[in-house]
Amino acid sequence: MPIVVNLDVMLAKRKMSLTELSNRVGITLANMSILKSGKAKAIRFSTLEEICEILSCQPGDILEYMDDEAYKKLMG
Amino acid sequence: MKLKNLLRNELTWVFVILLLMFLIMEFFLKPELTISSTNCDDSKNNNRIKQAKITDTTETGFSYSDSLPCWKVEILKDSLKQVSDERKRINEGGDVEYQFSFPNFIGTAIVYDKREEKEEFKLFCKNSNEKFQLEKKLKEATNKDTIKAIKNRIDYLTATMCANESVPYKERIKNKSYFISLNPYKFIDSINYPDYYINKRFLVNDNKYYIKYVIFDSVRNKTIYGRFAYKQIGVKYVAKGNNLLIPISLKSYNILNKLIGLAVFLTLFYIIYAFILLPLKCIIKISKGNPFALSNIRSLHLIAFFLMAYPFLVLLPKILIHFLFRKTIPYEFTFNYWECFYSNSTYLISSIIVLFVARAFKRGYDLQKEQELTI
Repeated sequence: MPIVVNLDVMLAKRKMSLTELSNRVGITLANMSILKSGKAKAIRFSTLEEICEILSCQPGDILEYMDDEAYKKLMG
Repeated sequence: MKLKNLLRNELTWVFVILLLMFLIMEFFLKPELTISSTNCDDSKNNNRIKQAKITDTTETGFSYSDSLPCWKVEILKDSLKQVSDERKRINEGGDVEYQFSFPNFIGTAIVYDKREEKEEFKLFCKNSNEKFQLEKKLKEATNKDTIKAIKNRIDYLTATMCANESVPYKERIKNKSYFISLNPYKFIDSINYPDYYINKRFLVNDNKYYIKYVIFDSVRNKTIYGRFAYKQIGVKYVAKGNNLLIPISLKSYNILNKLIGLAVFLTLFYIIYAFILLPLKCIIKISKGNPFALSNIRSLHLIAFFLMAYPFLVLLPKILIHFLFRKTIPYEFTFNYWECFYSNSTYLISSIIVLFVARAFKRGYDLQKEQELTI
C-alpha cells in the first residue's frame, strides 16, 4: 500500500520518543511500532486525532501518498 | 485475471478432478459387454429369427427305470440330489477361507476341502465318546487283562485326539490352493442374443474352472440351433459375496499377505489421522478461543483433501489391479467403477462442505488480522 507513515520524522522534529508518544496516546508500544513501521492496515480517526494533538501537526504531516515506484524504492 | 483467480480456487480443482474421473471412466474403463457374433453362421439373419433351439451335448444325465422298486428309486433320488447339491455348492465357490482382506477391495484366500475337516470333527466326537465310555468301564472292570486292554485303547484314543488337536486341520492338509480375492466382481451371466437371454454359468471341474456358454452354429428354417460349450478360464468365482479368486503360488500368497497387512495398518493410520486427530486438533484450538488460526485453516484443508482423496485411493488401486490382471480376468467378470465411486461419494460431498468451512475460516482469519492491524 503506497501510503507512508512519517511518524518517525515528526517524532524527531518534536524530539519525542515513541514510548512517550504511546504512553500519552494510550496505545501499546507494540501497536505504535506497527504504525511507525508501516505494517498497519488501517488507522482510526480517534488515534490520528490524538497523535496530531500531541505532536501539534496535521494528518498530512504523518501520512503521505507515494506512487508505486517511489514506494518500492523507499521500501527497498 | 479472472481465470487466474478461478484456478486458485480449490473448488475449481474439485470439479476438474470429478470431470476428469467421469471422462476416464466413461470412455476408457467402460466394461466391454459386446459379444462377437462370429459364433453364429448366419448373423445377418438374426433379426428374422424367431425361434432358437439349443441342444446340450456336453452334459450327460441318466434316468431311472419305472420297473425299479420304490425304495431303490428313493435312494437313487436322494443320491442324485446329494450329487447335484454338491456340484452346485462347488460351482458356487465351495469352501473358501478369506485371510487378510479389505472389505470391497482385495484380500487373500485359501481353498481346501472342508468336508474332511467335518469328518475329522465327527471322528473326534466319536473317539471322545468312546473314551468316556471306556473310562466308565475301567472303573467297573476287575479282570487284569480287560483293564490292560481298556487302558491300551484309551491311550491310543488319547494319542490320536492329541495328534489331531495339536496342529489345526488347515495347517496339516497339503491340498490347498492360494488365491488373491478381488471384490466385488459381477458375473455377467446372460447376454441378450438378439431376443433371448442365454444363461452363462461358471463351473468347477477337476480343480479347473470353466464358463459354460452357448455357441450358435447353424440356422435352418428360420430357426437358430445352438449347443453348450465350455471355455476354460484362469479364475475362480464365488457367487456368495461376488468374489473373484485368482490363483497364486504360496510364496506370492505370503508376500501379498504381508503387503495387505501393511496396507491395512497404513489405512488405519490414515483414517485415524484424517478423521479423528485432525478434527480433534481443530476442536481443541477453537475451544481455547482461537478459532481463526492459520493452523486451523490448514487442518481443515487437510481434512478436505483426505476426504476427497479417499474415494480415489479406493478406486485407483482397483482399476490398477483390474488392469494388471486384464488378461487373466475374462470379460464376463466385471466390476462397476461408477457403483464403487458412488458408494464413496459421501466422502466427496463432505470434502466440499469442509472446503466451504475452510474458506469461511480463511475469511475470518483475514478479518481478524485486519482488525488486529487497525491502530
